[in-house]
Amino acid sequence: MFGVNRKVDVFNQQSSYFYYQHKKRKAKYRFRLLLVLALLATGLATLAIAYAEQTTAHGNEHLFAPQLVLDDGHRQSLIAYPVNTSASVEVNGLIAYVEINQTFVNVENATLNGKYQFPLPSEAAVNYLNVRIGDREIVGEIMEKKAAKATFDKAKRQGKKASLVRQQRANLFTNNIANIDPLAEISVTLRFVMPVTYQQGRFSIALPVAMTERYQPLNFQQLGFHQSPAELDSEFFPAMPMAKQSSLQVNVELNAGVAVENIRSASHQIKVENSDKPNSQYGANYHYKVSLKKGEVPVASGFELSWQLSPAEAPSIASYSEQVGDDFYTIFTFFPAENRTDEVLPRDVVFIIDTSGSMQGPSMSQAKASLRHALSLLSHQDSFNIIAFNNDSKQLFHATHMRSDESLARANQFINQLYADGGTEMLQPLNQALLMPSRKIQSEDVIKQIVFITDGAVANEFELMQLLQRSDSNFRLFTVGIGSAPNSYFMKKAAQFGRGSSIFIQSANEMGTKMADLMTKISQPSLADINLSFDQQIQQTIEVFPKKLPDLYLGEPIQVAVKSSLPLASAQVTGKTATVPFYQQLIIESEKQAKAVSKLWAKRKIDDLLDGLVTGEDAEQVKSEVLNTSLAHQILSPYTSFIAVEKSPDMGQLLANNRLKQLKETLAVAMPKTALCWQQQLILGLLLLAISCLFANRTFAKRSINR
Amino acid sequence: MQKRMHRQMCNHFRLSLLLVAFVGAISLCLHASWQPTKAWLSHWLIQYSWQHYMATGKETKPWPWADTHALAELNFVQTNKQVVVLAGGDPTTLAFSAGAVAPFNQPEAVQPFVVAGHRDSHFSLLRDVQVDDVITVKDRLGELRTYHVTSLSIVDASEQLLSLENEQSLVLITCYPFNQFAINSNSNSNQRLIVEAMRIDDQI
Repeated sequence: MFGVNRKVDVFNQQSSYFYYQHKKRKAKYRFRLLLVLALLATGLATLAIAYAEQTTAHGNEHLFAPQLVLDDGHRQSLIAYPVNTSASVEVNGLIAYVEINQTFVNVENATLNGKYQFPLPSEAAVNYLNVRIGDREIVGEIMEKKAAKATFDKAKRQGKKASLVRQQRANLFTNNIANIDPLAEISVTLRFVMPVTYQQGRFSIALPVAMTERYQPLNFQQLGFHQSPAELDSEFFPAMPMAKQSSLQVNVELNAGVAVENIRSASHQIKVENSDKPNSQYGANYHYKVSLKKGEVPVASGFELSWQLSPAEAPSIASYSEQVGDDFYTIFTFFPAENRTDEVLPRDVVFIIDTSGSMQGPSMSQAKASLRHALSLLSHQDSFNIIAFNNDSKQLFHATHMRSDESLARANQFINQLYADGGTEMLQPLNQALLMPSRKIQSEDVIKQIVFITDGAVANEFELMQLLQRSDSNFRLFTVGIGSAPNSYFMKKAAQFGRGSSIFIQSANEMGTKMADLMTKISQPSLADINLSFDQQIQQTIEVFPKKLPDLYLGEPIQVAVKSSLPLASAQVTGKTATVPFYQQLIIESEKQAKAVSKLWAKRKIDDLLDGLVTGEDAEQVKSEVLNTSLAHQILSPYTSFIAVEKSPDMGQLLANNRLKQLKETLAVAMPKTALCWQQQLILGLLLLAISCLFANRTFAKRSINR
Repeated sequence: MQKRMHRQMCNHFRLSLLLVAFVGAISLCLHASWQPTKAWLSHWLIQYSWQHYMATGKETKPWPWADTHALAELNFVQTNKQVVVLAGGDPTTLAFSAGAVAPFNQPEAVQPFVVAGHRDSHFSLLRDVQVDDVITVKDRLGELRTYHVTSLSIVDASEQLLSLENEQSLVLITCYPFNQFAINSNSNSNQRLIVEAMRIDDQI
C-alpha cells in the first residue's frame, strides 16, 4: 500500500482534481463515521443511564445500618434483617448518659445464631449490657477477651442463650448472640457515658448509627504490624442486602443547668419541647426534650445534636466529680478566653481529598464544595496544593503554589473532574503531603498545614497514626469529616497525632461556617506546651489523663480527667503562644457531683494507654494496664468483652425445633432459571457493532483514496 | 501482477470478515433487545386479556397462538405495581410473564402458591420489596387474597429444591443479584431471591 501512495506523490497534490475528489470523499466518510459513532454513543449512554439509575436509586452501597446476619451453625443467611435502634440520652451539663436499645427478630422458624456490627462514639465508656430474649433477661459482665469467647462458645454448644459484645475498633463493635428461639424478639440494651463536645462556642453530641464499609489496604491482612496489637483479629462485616431497613428513634433530655439557645441537629429534623418549670422550688430548671420529628426514621446517618449557652451564661470552667471508695474522680473542662490576634499567619496548605468509592453521592459533592469554599478563603500571602486519592493519588501541582487567579482557576478545574470510585489507600497521599516542597516566595517560618477531607472509611488507622507520629513536627494536620457516617475515631486521632484538630460536616448548610472557622483557626497562633498543675502540696497521689495536653486552637477547650485522693480545689494553667507566655489560676468548685465520672476517667486512661502503642510503648505492658483498668471499672476495652450467658437452657424449646426442621423438609419445589441477561448481551452487541463499523470505515476510506 | 492479486485477496478476506462481524453484531443486538421487547409487549397483551376476562368472564387468548393462560394477578400494594401470573414455570412461559410453578400453581388451593419471574423484566420490581409489605393475589374467580411479606432470603439454586413451610403462603422467586453482569444466562449466578409472604385475611 505504501507503493501506491508513493505513485500519487508524483502529481502536484494540492492542485490536482483527483486530490480534491479524495478530500471530498474523505470528508464524506468522516461524516458517516461520526454519525455511526454518535448513534452508538447514544445507545450506550441510554443503557448506562438506565443502569446508573437502577444503582443510584438504592443509594451509596458502601453505607449501611446495623444488620442482623443469621446462621444455623453451618451456613450464614445471604440476606440481613434489620436491627432497630432506639437511643435515650440524658445530658447533664458536660456529660451525656446514653442508653441504646437494639431490637430484632429471628424471622426463621428455627433456633439460630445471630451477629451484627454497630458503631458507638469512640469516647464512650460502655459499662452495661442486658439482653432480653423472649421473657428471659441476662445481664452481662466484663471479662478478658479470650476467656469471654471461650465462655460464649461453650454456652453456644450447650444450647444456652448467650451474647458476646466485642470491640473491633474504638468506634466499631460486634454482638454475637447464640441460640435465638424461633420467631423470638431480642432486645439488647447497652449503656455508656461520654463527654459532651465543645467547639467554636457550640456544645454537641454525636451518636453514630450508620457505618461505612471500611477499606482494607492491599497488604493489610498479610502484614500484622500494620495493625495495632489491640485491634488484631478484628472483623469487618460487609454491607449486605437487607430484607427491610433498620430504623432509628432518639430521645434526648437536655439539662444544661442554665438557659440554652439554638438547639439544632445537622443530621435529622427534630422536635424540641421546653419542659421549663420556673415556679418550682429550685428556681428555674432548664429542661429540654428533644426527639425526632417523624418519631421513627430509617437509618441513613448518625444522629447529631448541638446547642449553645446564652452569652451571659458562657462558663470559663466546669467540673464534675464523683467519689468511689476513697478516691475522687473529676472531669474538668477549661474554656480559655478567646483572644483573636489581628496578626494573621501566612498559610501553606496542602488539601487532601478522598475520592474513594465510599464517598459516593452527597459525600463527594459536600467534600468538593468544602474544598472550593476553603480555597476561596485563602489570601494572597497563602500558598496551596491539592492531592486527590483513591487507590492512586494525583496532585494538582508538584509543589505548593501561591494563591493567584490562575492557580485558583486550575484548582477549580481539577476539582470539577473528581468523582468517587475505587479504594482508599491513604498512606501514599499523606506521605506526599508530608514531603511536599513549598515555593521559595513563601516565607521561611511558615508552618505546613494539611487539611484532610475524608469519611475515614479505612481499617489501617493504626498505620496512618504511626506515620504521623514519626514524621518531623513541622506540620499540622486538620481533618474534615464528611458524610453521614464518618469514622470519627480516625478523624480525631489523626488530628491528635498530627497536632491539629478535627471538624465534622454533616449537612450542606453548615459547611460554609465550619470551613470558615477551620480556615481562621489555621491562620491564628495556637497555644502550645500547655501544662496543668493541681494543688500538688496537699495532693499525694494524682493521676491526670491525657498525660500530655494537645496544642490548643482558637475556640477549643482543655478537658482532663483526674483521679485524686482529696477533692480538687484549684489548678494552674501555663502555656505559650508563638510570642507570649500564658498563665491562668483557676478555682474549682468540687461540690458539683455527677454519676459515672469514674468510668469516664477510666476510659480516658485506657485511651491514653492505647496511644502508647502508636508511640512505641511495650505492648504487653499496655495490655496488662488496660486490662486492669477495664476490669476494675467494668468498662469495655479492646482487650475485654461483655459476656452474658443464661443459667440453664430451655429443653422443651430445643425438642420443638427439631420437629419443625423435619416438617420443613416435606414440601419442596424446584427453582427455575430467572434471568434473561439481555442488558449485557445488548452491550456486547453494541460494542461489536462499534468495532466493525470503525474497521469498515477505515477499509472503505482507504479503498476510495487508493482508487 | 502477483502483488495486485494478493492485495485483492486480502481485501476480499477483510470484507468477508467485516461482513460476518457486522451481521453478528446486528443479530446479537436484535436478539438482546428482542427479549425485553417481547416481555414488554406480552405484558400488555396479557394484562389486556386478563382484564377482559375479569370484566366479561370470557376467555380471550393474549395472542392467537398463545399456549398459556393467565392464572392470577399479583398486586404489590406499597409500590402499586401489578403482574399477571401465567401457568407454568418453563422458560417459554417466563419469557412472557411471571409464571406459577407446578405443582404449586393453584392460588385457590390450600397449598403454597409459588411464582417465578425474570429479575431483569417482570420481577425486577422484587428489588424494592421489603419485609412487612403487602401483596394481594386475585385469582380467576375474582377472589382477593392478602399476603404479608414475612421474610426475604437468598438461597443457592444448585440445591435445586426449596422447602416450603407454610400451606397458606405465597412464594416469589427471582434471580439474584439484580444488577449482576453476566453475558449468558447459563453461566450466571446460582443464587435466588425468595420472598415469602403469609396470608393475613380471613381464611375460609
